[in-house]
Amino acid sequence: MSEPRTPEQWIEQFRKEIADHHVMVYAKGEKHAAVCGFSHRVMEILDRAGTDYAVRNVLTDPVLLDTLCDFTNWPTTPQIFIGGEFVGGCDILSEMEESGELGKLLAKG
Amino acid sequence: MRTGMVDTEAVRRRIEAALPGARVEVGTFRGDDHFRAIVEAPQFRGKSPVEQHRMVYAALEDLLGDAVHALALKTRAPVADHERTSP
Repeated sequence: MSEPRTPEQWIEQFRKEIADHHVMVYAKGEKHAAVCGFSHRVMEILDRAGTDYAVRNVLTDPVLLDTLCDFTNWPTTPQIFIGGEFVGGCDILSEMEESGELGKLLAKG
Repeated sequence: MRTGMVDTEAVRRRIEAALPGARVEVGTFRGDDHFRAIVEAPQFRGKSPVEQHRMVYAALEDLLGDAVHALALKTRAPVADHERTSP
């Protein structure tokens, strides 16, 4: 078990993760083991897009989840970052897949 | 109805109050606390999808997570008549 992190430490961690991973997902559950339908759908979309992505499970620590929602000013999960930018949740990612915008954004990486 | 529960009408009224002139459709799926909403609002013009969703979330702030366990959301700005393409 790692030491519990403070909100400040989590924010530092988020900044590092979204800089290190072209596609970073904060989800309920682990990669390919989502425990929420929306998180599952997001992973399916990214798998279909053939992109690599990292997942952090937000259910491991309540401080993590609260801090993430404050950090992004977004009340729900999953939350997706592409190229260091917050792109939104499952609904927006679905729309981006349908419009072809997701493929374009991923190709920029 | 237990305290803290809201129905689709209450969710719709909240969104319409926050975004006057909006066209709002609200339904549920997988139980009473999973909502889906389609919101078309003139206030969304020039806003990104993230900003549009934040505006709807702000209208429901105190309900989210509790009475509204999940919200599948589609947002769009109305298409002005002169922007419409012929069929």
